[in-house]
Amino acid sequence: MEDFLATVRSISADKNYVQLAEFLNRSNELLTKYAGQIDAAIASLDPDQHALAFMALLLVKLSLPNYGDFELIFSQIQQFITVCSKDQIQFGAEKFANICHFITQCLVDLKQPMRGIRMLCIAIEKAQQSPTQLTSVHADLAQLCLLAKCLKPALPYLDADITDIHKEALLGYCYYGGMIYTALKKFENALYFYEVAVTCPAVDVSHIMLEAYKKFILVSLVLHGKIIDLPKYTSHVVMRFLKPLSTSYHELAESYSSNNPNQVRTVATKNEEAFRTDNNIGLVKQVVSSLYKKNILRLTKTFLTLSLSDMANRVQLSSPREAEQYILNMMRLFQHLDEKLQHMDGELATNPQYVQKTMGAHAEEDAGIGRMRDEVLM
Amino acid sequence: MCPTWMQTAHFELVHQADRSEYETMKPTVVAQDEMFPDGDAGWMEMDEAASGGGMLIELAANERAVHGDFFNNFDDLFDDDDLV
Repeated sequence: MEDFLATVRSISADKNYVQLAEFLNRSNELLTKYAGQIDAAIASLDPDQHALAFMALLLVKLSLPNYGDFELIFSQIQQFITVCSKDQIQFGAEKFANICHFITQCLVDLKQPMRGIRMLCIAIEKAQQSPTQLTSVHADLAQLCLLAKCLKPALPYLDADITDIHKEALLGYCYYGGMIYTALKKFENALYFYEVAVTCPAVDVSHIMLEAYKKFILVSLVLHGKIIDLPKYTSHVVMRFLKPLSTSYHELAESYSSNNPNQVRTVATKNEEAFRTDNNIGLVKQVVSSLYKKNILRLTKTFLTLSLSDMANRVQLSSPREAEQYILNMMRLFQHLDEKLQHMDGELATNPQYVQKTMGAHAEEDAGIGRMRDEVLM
Repeated sequence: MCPTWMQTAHFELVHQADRSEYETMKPTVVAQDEMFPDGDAGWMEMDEAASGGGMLIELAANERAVHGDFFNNFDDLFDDDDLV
């Protein structure tokens, strides 16, 4: 072990990381033989200067039938991820990701997801070659955030425009990311993430795709009142199997198109067991609620004024008080939109660059609005 | 004991063993162009997707599913009634 450590220090000092990686690969058997001395060896290395060797020792320890005290290995991994050299990690990116997967799995098993969130944020930034690269650690972070019900730390990594994907982690990232956006009611983002998961090229039916497809249907109903069409490039093989496995959800969508809340409730109650098994009951409730809102909005096309009791009758709510609650919630949403519009007005008044940017993006919309205005004036 | 993720890929999109079969199914360049026609035809109806084609008969005889063990044991995070 002493010879091993001396060689590691010598090659690390020369910064010849390719040679170091080869040496570490050759030393695996030797390190396993001296498993009893691994903790002492780890303690003697600097996780910044000797990151690759530190990682190799950790991996040997993790591969042992019994890796010993969890708190010790947790602190070793935490120290390693926090301090390790980003440059060296690039020579063992897969191994680095495996350590992250390991600690994620342990924290999930121990029901202590919160402990890993900060660590995995650091890990992602060290593993990434650019801020738009997707790593397999992204899915781990999203999983821990969902379990801890602490969603916001994952947002910077979900909001980033990914240009370099990790194909083995893409489905997990999209599914968990979609769930985070759904929980935060960022339905457009959620729908996009589920769509990406469902439209991944595939030759096998994936359980992740199936669960993403179910949530895609529900979010699509909340947002658009119908199941939006999937792009043409969606795998036919996948679609052939996903639809028959989601009959409850298609039945719900079909009843939604009737605009009759009682019919939707009946279907929701009939398929309650399936929705509960999929942990989608809450989202189904939001689908039902969205139909009431949609029907209230439809009333404005017919009536200028309407009493709360009349409104409750027409949209099949149980009482005027419930109708009032819906109206108040909808007003809060409109108030939020109004604040956004006022902010845009402020930007338009003070920042000419803002006008130029938006003009380019909305040129087509402007042309359409211009045509409509002309028609009205005529 | 060595965790399973260390032995196998964490998320496996395409089975390595079946890759040769997949390669033979790859569309030609012309077929790829046909997938993106101009106009509204770029979107697929659900019924159309579910109808399947002759090619699927062979695949249906060899049904496979992956990610059966993926973690999905979360509480219902979308229930607004839980927010008091």
